[in-house]
Amino acid sequence: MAVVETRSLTKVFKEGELGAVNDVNLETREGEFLVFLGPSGSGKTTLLRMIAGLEQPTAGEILIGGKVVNELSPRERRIAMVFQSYALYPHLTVYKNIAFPLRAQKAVKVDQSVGMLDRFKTKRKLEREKVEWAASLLGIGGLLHRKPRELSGGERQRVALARAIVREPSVFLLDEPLSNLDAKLRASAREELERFHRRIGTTTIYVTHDQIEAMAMGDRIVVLNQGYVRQIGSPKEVYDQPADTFVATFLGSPPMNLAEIDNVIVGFRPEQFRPAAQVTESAKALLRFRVENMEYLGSEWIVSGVLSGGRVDGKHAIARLGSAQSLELGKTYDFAVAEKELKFFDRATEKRTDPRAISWQ
Amino acid sequence: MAVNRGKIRSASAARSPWLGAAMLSPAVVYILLLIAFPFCLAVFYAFSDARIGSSGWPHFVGLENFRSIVQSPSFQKAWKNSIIFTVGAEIIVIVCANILSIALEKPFRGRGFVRFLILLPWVAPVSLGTIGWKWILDSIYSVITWVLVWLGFVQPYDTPMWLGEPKLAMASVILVHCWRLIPFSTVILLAGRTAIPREIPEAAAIDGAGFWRTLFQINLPMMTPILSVVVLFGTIFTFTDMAVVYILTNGGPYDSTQTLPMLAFTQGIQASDLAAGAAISVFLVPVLVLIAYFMLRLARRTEVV
Repeated sequence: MAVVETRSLTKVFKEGELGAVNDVNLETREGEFLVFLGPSGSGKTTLLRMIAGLEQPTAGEILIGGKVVNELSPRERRIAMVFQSYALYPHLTVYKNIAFPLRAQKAVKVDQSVGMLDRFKTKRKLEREKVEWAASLLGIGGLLHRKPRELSGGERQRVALARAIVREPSVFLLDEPLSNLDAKLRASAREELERFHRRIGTTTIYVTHDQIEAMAMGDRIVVLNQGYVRQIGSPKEVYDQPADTFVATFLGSPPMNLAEIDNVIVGFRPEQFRPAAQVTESAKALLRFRVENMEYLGSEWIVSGVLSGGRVDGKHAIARLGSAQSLELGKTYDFAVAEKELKFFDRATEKRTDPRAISWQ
Repeated sequence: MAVNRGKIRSASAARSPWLGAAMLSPAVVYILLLIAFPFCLAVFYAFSDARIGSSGWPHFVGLENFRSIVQSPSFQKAWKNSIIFTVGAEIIVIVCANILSIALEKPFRGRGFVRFLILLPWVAPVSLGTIGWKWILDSIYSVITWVLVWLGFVQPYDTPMWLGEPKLAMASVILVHCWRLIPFSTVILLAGRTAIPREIPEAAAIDGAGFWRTLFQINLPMMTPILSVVVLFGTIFTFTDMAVVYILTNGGPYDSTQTLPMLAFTQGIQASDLAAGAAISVFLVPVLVLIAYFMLRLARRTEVV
């Protein structure tokens, strides 16, 4: 097991163009499940590929277990990676797919004193034990003789995971491993991955564009946009204390409401934006809200509309309510947000600033 | 309306059954005249005593021609030469085409131009290219000899006779044939290589495989279907080729580069023994069919995705 660290890591694909990854500094913790989250083109996969050794950084350093590994090939970094497409070897059986890293890294070692044939036999026996251990860990013991094309999407993913753990790597890299599964399978596969990580406890870096996956699985989340790290923190931190407006709007569905007042941007989560009567806190911001659209999602309502009056007149806003039966389209209501739930961002830098008193009128 | 129109159209098509036949006829005539007819004629001659210039219809002689050619030393020699020629050229072609396709896979400055240069031997007419090689390998004017002399590898008074010594002649013929076949094989292998998803060799690199393991256990096995097509085409091209041998050595010296197609030509046309020439050509057919069968079976069995 090991800690992965990057120092001022930068990747520029074409000279003169914007970097795909810019000055990234981060450090995993021992056995941590770290998630790289960002929209497509945010550089999260490039960052992962540089850690894996598949991409050469333009500048900066990568450290695994305290050693600079920039010049090391992927095989020397003792990492395992699961690709988005799983990248199983299509011409090999599941057994040989899982055994491939063992043979390639000559991971199975036997006593040199015995005869050649015996050595070969024990080698194969030890290899079989390891493959069966990895396969049973993922519940694919019965599929060892199949070819990848004869497997379902979920089974392929498990084979890819088994191939990754069989050599007991120091770091696990996962590149959107759930995005090829259908929605129903994705939820159960996610849960399985979480359980799997708890069981093997290896430091894991997981790339996704799906904020639900990130929130559910991550010990910490690294939010990336345009190659820059926007925030690193626990799911609760990035959700409740977003570092800037990008993080505030990227996480959460629907996103945080933002309104400019003077030289600050004020934000509040849709679930904190409720009819004034329901907000029990005494310190609260009162807003007039004209309902324009209502969506019923079973357990909740998404109500969108326009703020009216005062300095936020005409601003679009969204509320997430448990019930919206008393609301009618086109009518204006008194809504409110507790003041402690307001987030403040500097208008110029879009970075978070201290709460301050503002006048809504 | 639509139904009516459909009926009318099919009715008018039924009324002129000749249209379909007329549209098909150019292809049929082409195949009949230029492939089927000569082939049947060759089979017919192979079982007869036809000779150029003989009068009257040839007589049926059964397997007599085959018996005599199989027993003749020149046929046995040509058969051996054909196998050396084909296997030798094929091995060199596959190895070189693989190296080239690996070199040309990753983008670099001027890759398009290099690809164009590599394809040139394939687009040049075989006779022109081979005549060029005849000069390159000439006993007096050979640039290869000049270079070797200049570098001090050979003495000016004892230069190698590229086309005049049996072993060198065979090597030269193989070399020129490789020069012709490598471009084609490279292009096909390059297509096969780029069809492998990029993530698979990357996964192999992460799993700890080096260059050779990735090549022999991942890339080449995944390319088996396309590789067998390359081998099949190359084998048939080489086995039936006559132009290179005819222009460079005309089968000599001392029959050392005499291959089966060349022998069929010398015996059937130059020596006027049509029946023997036809028998040699027909003898090639089952051999090539067998090769094709096994290659296609290999391609199908290893179909991966």
